[in-house]
Amino acid sequence: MTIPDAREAAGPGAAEVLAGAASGAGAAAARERLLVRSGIALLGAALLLLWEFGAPLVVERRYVSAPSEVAARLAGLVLDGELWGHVGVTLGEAGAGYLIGIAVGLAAALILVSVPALDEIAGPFLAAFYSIPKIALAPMFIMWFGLGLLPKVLLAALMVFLIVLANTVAGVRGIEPGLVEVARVMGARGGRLVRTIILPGAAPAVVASIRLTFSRAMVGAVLGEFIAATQGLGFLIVRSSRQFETATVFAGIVVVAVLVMLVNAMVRAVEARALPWCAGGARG
Amino acid sequence: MADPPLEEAIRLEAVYKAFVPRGRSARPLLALEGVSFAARPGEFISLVGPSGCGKSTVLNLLAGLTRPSAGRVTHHGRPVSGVNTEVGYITQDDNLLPWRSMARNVEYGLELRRVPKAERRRRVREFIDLVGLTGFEDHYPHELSGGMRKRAGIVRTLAYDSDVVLMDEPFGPLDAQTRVILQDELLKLWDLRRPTVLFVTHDLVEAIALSDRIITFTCRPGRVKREYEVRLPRPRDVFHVHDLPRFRELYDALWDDIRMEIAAT
Amino acid sequence: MSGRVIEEQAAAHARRRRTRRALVWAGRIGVATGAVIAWELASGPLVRPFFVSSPTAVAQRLAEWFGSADFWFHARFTLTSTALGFLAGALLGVLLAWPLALRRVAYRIVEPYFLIAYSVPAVALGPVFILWFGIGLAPKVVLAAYFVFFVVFVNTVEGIRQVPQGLIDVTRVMGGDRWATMRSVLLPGALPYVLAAFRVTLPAAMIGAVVGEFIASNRGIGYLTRAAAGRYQTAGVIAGTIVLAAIVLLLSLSLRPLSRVLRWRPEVRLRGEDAL
Repeated sequence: MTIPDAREAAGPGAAEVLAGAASGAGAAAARERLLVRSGIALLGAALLLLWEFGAPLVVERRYVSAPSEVAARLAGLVLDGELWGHVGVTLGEAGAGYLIGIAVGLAAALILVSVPALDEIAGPFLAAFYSIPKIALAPMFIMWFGLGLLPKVLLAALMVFLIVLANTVAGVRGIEPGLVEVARVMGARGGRLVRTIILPGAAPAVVASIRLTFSRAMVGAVLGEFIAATQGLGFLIVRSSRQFETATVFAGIVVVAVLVMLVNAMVRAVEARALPWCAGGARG
Repeated sequence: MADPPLEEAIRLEAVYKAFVPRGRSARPLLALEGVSFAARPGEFISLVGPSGCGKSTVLNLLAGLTRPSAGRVTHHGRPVSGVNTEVGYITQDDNLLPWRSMARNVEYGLELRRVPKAERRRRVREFIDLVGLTGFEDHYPHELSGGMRKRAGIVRTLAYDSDVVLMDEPFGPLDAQTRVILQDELLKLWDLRRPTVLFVTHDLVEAIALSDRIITFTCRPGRVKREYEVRLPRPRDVFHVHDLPRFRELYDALWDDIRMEIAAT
Repeated sequence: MSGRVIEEQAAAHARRRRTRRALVWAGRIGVATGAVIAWELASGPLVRPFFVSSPTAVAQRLAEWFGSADFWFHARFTLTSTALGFLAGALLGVLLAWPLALRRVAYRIVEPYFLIAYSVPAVALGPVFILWFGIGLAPKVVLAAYFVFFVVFVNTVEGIRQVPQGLIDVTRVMGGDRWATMRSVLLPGALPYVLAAFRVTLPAAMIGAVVGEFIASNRGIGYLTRAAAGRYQTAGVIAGTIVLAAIVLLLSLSLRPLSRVLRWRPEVRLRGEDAL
């Protein structure tokens, strides 16, 4: 059985095959990109149109409002300045709670990590605390701390605290033991070991938890405002829903969602700048 | 040798294969350039070459999992179009279903081919016995050793009796001792029905011990460099094949071939 | 000789472990009882009972509740909305995931909308559902379902997508058609992810239902708790919170064996679990 030499074989040359593959793949990718983009645009338009013109055919308009009404209401809230007060209050509560939650979570984690006995004793309590709904504590907080900002800040902090705590402890535990041993062999002790191995090693998990928890802080603040408040986005939403101002309810929800997305993007940008080697490495 | 075309189990004719890696600015790579060879029914052929030389691509083309960019791939004279369910394919990963017990994994191919239950059970038992896995039928893949998983993967494919079997470095991750034992078992299994085998490996000893013919590949783009008739008597003793003068001779020739390729990369 | 050395080593090791565990448990029990006693003693002389009530008052209130048909009516309401919401959300999540996970273009088209909907805190939608469905059972069911849906959907998609391509290829070469691939490879491959998502979302459904009750309701344990807060009955608030926490804890424990049903599968990392 003879094998024809590759160079003599009939058929196209290598360059031709490569060019064909490149243009074929390029065309397929371009086609898919176009399909996806136009699909996204069409679906969005269809949803808005359905909401604007389709929904009123099924239910009364005052229940569902319409995109045009929501947009007009949003513009109105922005123009008459009412929105900024609510945004300021909610962002303030959520932001303060977020920072407090992170700080307390980190501190508690460091204590637990450095005193193993304490960690072991606290284990089941933390596990139980972790799995009970923090949201359930809202009425208690309101009762204790009144209608002002404090209960919302604490609720937001609580929502953040446990996640940061759990992730930090897990981050430190997850450090490759070999890494610590190598550093020890090379003479790292105490503070230096913490600075060069423990902190950077745990950083990705810690940062991931910090990135993911702002929306939880917002939930804490908004829920607190739902239950009892006199200002803030949650208050705006709940009051409008009681008065059947559906457009305002949706406007408020849009603002909450946009704030969450904006802050998430900001945290991500800071993270990418500060810790380029672990950005985006954690689960979402 | 003037075999009429229908006497060929498989044939590649001036096959080219280009890949476009995912990613925006990625440039296409040529995996195969004008590869041509054919296999007689019952022939055991090894494809040898440095890693990443398109040998696995040859198997994927024959299994119909990818299509050639140019050239023809035929199986019994018919061009391969779409997934080729008439070949058996033993992949580099054992690809056992982790949620099926070992015996149920061996049964899987027969099940997909709608072999009646009683017949299925009989053949599964027979093949499990042949490779000494009796007693481990109800173990899940993660409870088996690497060698056991390989055995299960191999008999899963051989149990349904296809006339062409593609094997992609099946013994790659195993330790040296287990490797030799599995080579011996594979030869015994092959001898039962003598399917055509296309065996990808980069282990020269393995290639010589098992094959009738060895085809060496150049490195990217993969081209057929040379081929060697092994001409060692069968049945072979894989444990002592190294002692034969013909083995030394082939080994040196192959090693010269491959060394040049590795040096070239 | 060496046998004895090993035995002695093992015995010493076991002894050390036993004493250590005993110490830890003593510490745990000590902390718990200490906290309860401190709470009881501090209530009154140190802190006004209005703020912290006292363990005895809370226990009394719990006992009262358990003896009254009224409490069980509220409990049944909350559990009904939890169960219905969980079923609806889980079913929808699983059913919607299948057609989308397997079609890359379709998935990429709907993905941004799911991301947007996902980043709206579910809690913020509570008032909308109340507006639409009144203050009865329906809005709580919808809210509970919303809490469940995304986590189940995202993880089912993830479960389908992480099935190794090799298993699919091998199945096709062995003669499996679309249906066989689905039934024998994708379904069992995705199952652990689906079950894990169920496990974390059952308690989440309850949280959704309770949030609904917090916002507007005249029934349910969430309502009981909030009503007690409105009347400044501290013992009632704490008792209600304890009941809610206990139910959620029970729900999450009750589904834990679910992950052990699958003997073949080591572990699954879930997406979006923290988002609740």
